[in-house]
Amino acid sequence: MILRRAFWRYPGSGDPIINLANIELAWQGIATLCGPSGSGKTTLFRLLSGWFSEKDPSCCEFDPPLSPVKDVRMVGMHSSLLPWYRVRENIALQCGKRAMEDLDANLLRVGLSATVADLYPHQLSLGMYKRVEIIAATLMQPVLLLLDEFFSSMDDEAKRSVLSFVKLLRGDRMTWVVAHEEELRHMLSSLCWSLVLDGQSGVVIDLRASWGKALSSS
Amino acid sequence: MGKGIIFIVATMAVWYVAAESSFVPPLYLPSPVDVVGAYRPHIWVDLGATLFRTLIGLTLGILLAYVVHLAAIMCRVIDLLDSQFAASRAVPIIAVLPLFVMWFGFGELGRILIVMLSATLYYLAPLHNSYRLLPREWTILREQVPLSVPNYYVRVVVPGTLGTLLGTLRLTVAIAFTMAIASEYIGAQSGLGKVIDSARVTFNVPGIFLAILVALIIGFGFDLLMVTVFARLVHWAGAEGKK
Repeated sequence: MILRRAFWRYPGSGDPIINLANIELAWQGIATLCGPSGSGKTTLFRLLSGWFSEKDPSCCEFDPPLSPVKDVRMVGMHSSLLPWYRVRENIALQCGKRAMEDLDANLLRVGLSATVADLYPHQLSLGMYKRVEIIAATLMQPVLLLLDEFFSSMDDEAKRSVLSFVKLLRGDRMTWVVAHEEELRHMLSSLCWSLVLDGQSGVVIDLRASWGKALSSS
Repeated sequence: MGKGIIFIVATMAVWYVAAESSFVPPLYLPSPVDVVGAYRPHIWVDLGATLFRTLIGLTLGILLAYVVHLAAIMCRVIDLLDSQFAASRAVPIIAVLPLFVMWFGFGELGRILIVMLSATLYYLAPLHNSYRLLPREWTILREQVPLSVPNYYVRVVVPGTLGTLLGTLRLTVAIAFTMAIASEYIGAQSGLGKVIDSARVTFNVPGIFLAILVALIIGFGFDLLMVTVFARLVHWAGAEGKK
């Protein structure tokens, strides 16, 4: 799988913040994306998940072709749950009625009680909110799942249960995580490679980092 | 609430003193006693007629605004709608009122249509503006899930835009009420507008003041009702926060 092109320049700014071409991707397992603040991690994730596709449909191209909007799903710093629907209705809207059968079990898997299903999004804490989002995003079965600043509001136990949930439901499918803390990298033991953005030219300077490329299977 | 009552009582007192002292001629400011004396039980029938026209016209008008907006999205002429409606709103609806009376006669139809049309035109542009400002993480659901356009409109656009439309709704209610009264100036059998117009013919200034006072209280009540209903209906507004 190759990322043919990922290019984005915010209107009015000079240099493109993301300018990647022909990057070969290990298309399975969990990978991390690192880089200093402002290096374009979130922008890259938005680009890959079709956030800008209305403005520029050719800003992101995969080979073989993927639809960024349909095949890539991002869970990040933005609220994807509709505030006028309860958790249950939000997941039904995004994943269809079939997702309702396992909803209680899935809530338990990410460390939430089944009663959360009847709450409105604004009644959830940030960590709970993100865990509901990851259930919805994972059940949609995207080819590529992107988790941006995902674990920052969770305790270790929550992080662990979410990670095992992702591994359980995604199998070998690809998941990228923006990771900062050393601790989190340890937890992501199935890492096969990592991307690093350097923040200046926006290019990848380190692919397939040393730690973990051997651990591809789990 | 206490301050409000003090304010009203103080206003009444100043009004009473100003009118009784003959400092201001009764043509400009009749005494509160005369205004109360102008009360006729029939005013409730007139008020009912005005409320009926306002509520029917308002409801149909806002519904029409949503239907037109959805149709414009489905027919991909939404950008056109923006500019065309800006032009049509520049025509004061009140200017076409006599035309409506000529077309639809002195019955209810023409009056309700004028209230409806003004509600639609006042609601549509802010609705569209709010639609364009919907956050990307909501609009992306249409392609992501995917949802049909009507389904997307009902489940995402209508509730999503409502959160920022309280001010517009209050204005639209006020416009509908105003247009209902204005429509009754021409050949109506009942209504607050008709009461005011009849009183004008006989120089019955206290009668006009009474009708205005009733309209004021009802308009205030309408607004309060709107805010209360809105707070319950759009319970998430303001609470959505940054997650």
